[in-house]
Amino acid sequence: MMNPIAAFRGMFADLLRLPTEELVLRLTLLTLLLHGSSETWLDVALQVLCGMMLVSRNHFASPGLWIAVSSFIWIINATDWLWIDNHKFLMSYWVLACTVAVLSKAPMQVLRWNGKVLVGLCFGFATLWKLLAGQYWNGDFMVYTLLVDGRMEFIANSLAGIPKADLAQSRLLEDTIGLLPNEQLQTSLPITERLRFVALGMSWWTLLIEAATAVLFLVKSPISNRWRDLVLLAFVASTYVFVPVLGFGYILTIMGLASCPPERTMIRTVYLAVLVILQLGRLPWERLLS
Amino acid sequence: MSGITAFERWLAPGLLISVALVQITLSHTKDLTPWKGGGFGMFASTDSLSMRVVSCEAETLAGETILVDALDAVGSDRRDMMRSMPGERSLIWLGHRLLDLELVPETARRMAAEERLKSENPDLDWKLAFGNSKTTSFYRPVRVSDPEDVDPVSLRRVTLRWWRVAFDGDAGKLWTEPIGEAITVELR
Repeated sequence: MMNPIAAFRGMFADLLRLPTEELVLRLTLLTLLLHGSSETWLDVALQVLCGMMLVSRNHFASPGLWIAVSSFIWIINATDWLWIDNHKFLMSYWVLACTVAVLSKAPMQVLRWNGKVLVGLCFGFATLWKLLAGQYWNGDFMVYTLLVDGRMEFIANSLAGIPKADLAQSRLLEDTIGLLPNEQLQTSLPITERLRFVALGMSWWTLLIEAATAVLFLVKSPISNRWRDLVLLAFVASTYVFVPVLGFGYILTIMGLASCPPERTMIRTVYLAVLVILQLGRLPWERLLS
Repeated sequence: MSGITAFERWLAPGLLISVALVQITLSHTKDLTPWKGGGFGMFASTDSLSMRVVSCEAETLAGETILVDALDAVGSDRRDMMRSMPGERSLIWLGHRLLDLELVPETARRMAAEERLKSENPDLDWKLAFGNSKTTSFYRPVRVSDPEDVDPVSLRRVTLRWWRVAFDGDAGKLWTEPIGEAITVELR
């Protein structure tokens, strides 16, 4: 009987032997199937269309089917634009790029160009917002997030040393103050020097890596070619394992893979591995470690 | 990349740039939250959907003044849409919707359950068991699952206002500040 680990490695090698265009389109279909919908109508359409395209031998790149998928996503997301998350916008642009690619005479070149520019623009606007909002570079946003976002409790408690009872109290205060809005109403949260230090470190790391990703993906240079994949992979792995917004992590990884030259086998392998690693973010680490 | 046309190159990136620029403009002119609208401003500011709330003071047909959980009157998608870009129009719409609805205290179900327990256990010291839990200040729209023996109220007038929960990291201070003016809607 075959060793399961050897079989897994064989499957990885098999995936990497696929033409990049096929691999990217199939992974995009998988992402749409798992994380593409924002409401039931779109969910049903994507489950049927993307599921069948994914298992089909010949229709994963059918222009007609990609136009259908693209149309569903754009109609629903345009209707819901005020409340859907930003990665749903990014998926919409990427699906449009995939549709243009399957209609093109040079599909791989279309995917490579669009992957590179869309990643660069997404990180460029994310960086711009962090500078415009005025609460990021001074650490205020991260201080607040560490105190009230339950997903950050592990970091707030173990790295910043805030007791769990204080974190629970902060979340309760945030909920309650919103029930009774009044111009005289205010309260204070437990800020410590250590918390500020951790928050500032996390803020500057994020700002730096996001700005670097934007520049490396948008500016053409030998340094960009060498470093951009590694920087994007470092961002995805260090962000979405802690804040598991898997749809965002998947679509960025797939666009990065699409923009990666086919001869860089090692980097392409890491892109595939990151898709697997992202799932680890869903595990209850705090419970497992304690 | 010489083999691909300008259309193939710029259709998707052009749309991304256009939408993001519109989002940045709306955020600075119409209170659109940085988190929504396709400008990639998520995780940049504390001004997210959950930080935007509506205050609602209402007068019932019987002349009593009550506080209402106004956003309970709309579904979650519409609620998120309203909180993304709060404005006068959404308050007027919400005001008229509340005037059309019947409301009960938020604790209606628990109150009904307590009443039933009291009737089935008349010898228990109820003050000790439940304290003053019957007191409530918030009302919400009636739901199908609500008990029939709680009398709903209807409204004559509602005054609504958008607020934002704000945070100052230096002082560690959390407070609420109004977004726009209060709107009053009355029965015609």
